[in-house]
Amino acid sequence: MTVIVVDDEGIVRDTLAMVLSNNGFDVRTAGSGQEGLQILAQTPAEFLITDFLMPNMNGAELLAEATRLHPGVKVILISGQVDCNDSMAKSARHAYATLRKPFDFRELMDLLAGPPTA
Amino acid sequence: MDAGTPRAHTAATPGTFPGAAPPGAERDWTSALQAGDSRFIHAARLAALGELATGIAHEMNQPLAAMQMIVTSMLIDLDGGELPPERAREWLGTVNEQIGRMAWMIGHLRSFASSETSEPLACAALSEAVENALGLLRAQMRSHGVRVEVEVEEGLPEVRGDVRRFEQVLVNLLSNARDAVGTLPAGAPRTVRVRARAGAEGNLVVLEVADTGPGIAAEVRERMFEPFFTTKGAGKGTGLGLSIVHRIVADCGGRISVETGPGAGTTFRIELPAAQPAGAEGAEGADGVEPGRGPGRQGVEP
Repeated sequence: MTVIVVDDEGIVRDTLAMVLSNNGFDVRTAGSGQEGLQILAQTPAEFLITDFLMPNMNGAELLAEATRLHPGVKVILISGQVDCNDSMAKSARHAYATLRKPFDFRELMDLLAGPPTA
Repeated sequence: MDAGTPRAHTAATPGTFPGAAPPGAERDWTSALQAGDSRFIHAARLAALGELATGIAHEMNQPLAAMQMIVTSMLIDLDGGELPPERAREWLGTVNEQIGRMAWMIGHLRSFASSETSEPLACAALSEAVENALGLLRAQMRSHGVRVEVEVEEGLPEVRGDVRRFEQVLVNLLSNARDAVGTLPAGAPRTVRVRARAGAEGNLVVLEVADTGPGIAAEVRERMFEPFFTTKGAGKGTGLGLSIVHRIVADCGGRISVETGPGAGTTFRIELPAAQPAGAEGAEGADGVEPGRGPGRQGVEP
């Protein structure tokens, strides 16, 4: 299963890619929303996992654009605990799921394995 | 920034504030500030830290998120009986690095919040102040979609003063720059540039904070170093940021000037006396600089 990870914070992006790869996922990484869209255009992915707080194109904007261009992709929004504002709450309704950093990796694995329980 | 747009230049004279003194209770604070009262400057530093708290919490969440992912993944692997020692070693190495990152941040926060005064002849590396200030502001800059460019000249001489105070100067100027570019319409380039370089005269170090914001109006420019003068909305600014910058720079025997113009962005330029002139005998980097040598503060005191 192909998963695209988008986060401008290198350590989170690389760690997420590392542990997902270790669990058998085909992982592509991007440091920005624009780069994430480019990868998505070339590589059909089932999931796109994106940080919410990013410059230029934030997670909400990426979610809107990714699902508009590729309706089949499931977007998981990850936020820091401090950026859950109105914009985040609104976009969360259109996301496949949302997680807050720091999050339990098992929870993410459950999301990737099947439909959300909530 | 548009080089063709005329920019006005304002230089503040250290030790005096143009315009009328603020009335009433603010007068005591103003006196304390003008006297360089370290308790007042410390209180303002704590207030700045409070304003940055959410951004700092966000920064701390990054290593925490990485560490939790690794530890949980290792536990899953252990439960499944599939955790090769090589992988465990590599992943624990990453955890160790992130613990170091968090320890640095916590140590730095404690240092920034500390009320301890430095040695009278303390020297500071501006590169350290720049790194520390950006460490506090990085998340906020990201959330405001601001691109930050940093250029710190190699081998820059140290300047006389407390590194925490220069950090406070940078936090205040960068916060203003962030707010300035935040007023730009969507799609406009939002860039803040921090530059530290040797001055043309050799015994000066120049610190610049420039933004691509809308510039500062003439009537604001005349009063912006006054304590409690603010153009930010109620509850959004204390009006102390630039007056504290001014006070700290004056205390270090420095000079601050501003270049700005409508639509031409703003550059705050601070000139500080080097603790020891570049190329002076015995100047062999940070460890080679002896406090007490080089130009004395009185040589450039306002």
